Amino acid sequence: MNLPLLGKFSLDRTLAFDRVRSTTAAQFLADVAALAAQLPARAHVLNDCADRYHFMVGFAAAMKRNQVSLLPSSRVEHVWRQLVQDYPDSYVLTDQRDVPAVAEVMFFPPLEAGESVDLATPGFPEAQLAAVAFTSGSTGRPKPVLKYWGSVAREAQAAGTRLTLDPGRAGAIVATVPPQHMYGFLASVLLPLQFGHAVTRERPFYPEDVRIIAESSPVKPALVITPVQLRACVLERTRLPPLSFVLSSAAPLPSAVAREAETLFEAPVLEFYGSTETGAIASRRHRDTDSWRTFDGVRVRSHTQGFLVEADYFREPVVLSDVVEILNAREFRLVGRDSDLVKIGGKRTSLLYLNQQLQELPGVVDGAFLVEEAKDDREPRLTAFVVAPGQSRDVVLAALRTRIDEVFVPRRLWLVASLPRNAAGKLPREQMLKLLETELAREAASGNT
Amino acid sequence: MSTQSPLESEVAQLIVESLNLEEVQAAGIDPEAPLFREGLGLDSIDALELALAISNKYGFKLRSDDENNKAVFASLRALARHVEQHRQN
Repeated sequence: MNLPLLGKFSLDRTLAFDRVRSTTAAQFLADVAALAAQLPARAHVLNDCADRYHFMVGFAAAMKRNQVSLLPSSRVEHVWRQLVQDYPDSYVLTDQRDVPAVAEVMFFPPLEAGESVDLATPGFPEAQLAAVAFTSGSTGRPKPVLKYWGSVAREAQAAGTRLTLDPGRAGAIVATVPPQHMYGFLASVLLPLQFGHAVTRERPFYPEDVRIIAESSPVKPALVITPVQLRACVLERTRLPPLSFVLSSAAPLPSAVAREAETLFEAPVLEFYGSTETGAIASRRHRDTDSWRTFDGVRVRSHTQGFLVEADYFREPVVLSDVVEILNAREFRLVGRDSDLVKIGGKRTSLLYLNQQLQELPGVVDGAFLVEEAKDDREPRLTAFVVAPGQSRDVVLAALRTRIDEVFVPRRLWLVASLPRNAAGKLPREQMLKLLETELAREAASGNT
Repeated sequence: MSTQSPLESEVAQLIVESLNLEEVQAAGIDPEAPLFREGLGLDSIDALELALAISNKYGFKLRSDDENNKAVFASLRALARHVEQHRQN
């Protein structure tokens, strides 16, 4: 069955805006047709566009040409290089100058509508592979997660319904998250397409950016943001214009931040729960509850392997990486996380993956990361220990930077003689914490900076 | 390493305190070394935290479209210069 690219709304509806221009759905369809005609004949496109409108046009044009959009979680050259090895028939579509040179690059071109513009809204088969997202795998290589058009379109419908969006009513979305991240892909690309909402082309970063862009919104906007940025807005007491709601995801929102944001911005603060593998599957409003309510058509149940998520629009059930407590058919509570998972700034990886990246560096004999839990609702940060005779700290760090995302680059890197591995070769966390204490004490004693 | 001006030392202190850089001595930050990536190795989460500390202490808000936000954070010296030009208190 085909599902249309756009929901049921007038083509006069604004789909994207920034401080100087706004773009209608009709213009979007014309741009999609124009770009589709120019894309090279390849199977996969790495959509690296920073301007959200460019991303949307690129995604839809690729769908039209039956090309699959690759959405890596970072722009690190090493990650892209692996990606191109795994997907040799791919090219990069971008509007950014500093693009890693790993494959053929197509810069987002100026688009002019052709002679006879076809404004019929395209529809795509539910079974068409729309995108591949990537998550930390257990093999040390990012694991591809296949996103079919039917799943992503229907996930967006379920999510929008939960948010009480209505395609018959204009709305706007100010989003701080990148369209390549699954949360940004849902909330700032698919929701606008399915519900006819105007989305910001830019990605505001500082609270002041959020304020300025929210004020340029054509209608009262919803704010799609991450916990780190919402916390910054709350602490800075940013004077945002009236908002229809605030949506946070990518990491748990501290309840104090949620409460203060509701008071300060006079809008409901909602959270989505999900993962790259499942997409968003449940929501909660912190003011009312700490338990998660699944979207319509989504079920979570316990299973021998942990917890399974089933949805009417999944091809197969997905195992959750979190441990949950099932309260009833529609609600669950988060109990814990797989201790190997590392989440910082909304990005996810595993200690296993990070350790492998460290251990594979030239001159490194052994190495391991340690997560230092943060206080005051801040993000956890990483420390790493490395055995690398004859190497300097700066050289190891520089090499590491070419392989992992900046948020995972350790705040401190200690050169040590050996790691406290036990007989099984494992590194118990208590031993790692002891090692950190020893190194801190040694440093304090030597008076080095 | 060139020496820190009084404002540079003050901003260096703010960086160390607001980012909990226990292992860094404010006086040891080279005013001309990069703050992000190489150098102090700060990242985007730190940038948000630092923007907040600057807003509280100096009464102005950082923006991505400030002439060139990258240049503002290029070094302690560049950041102190930006503070000098925009501070409200």
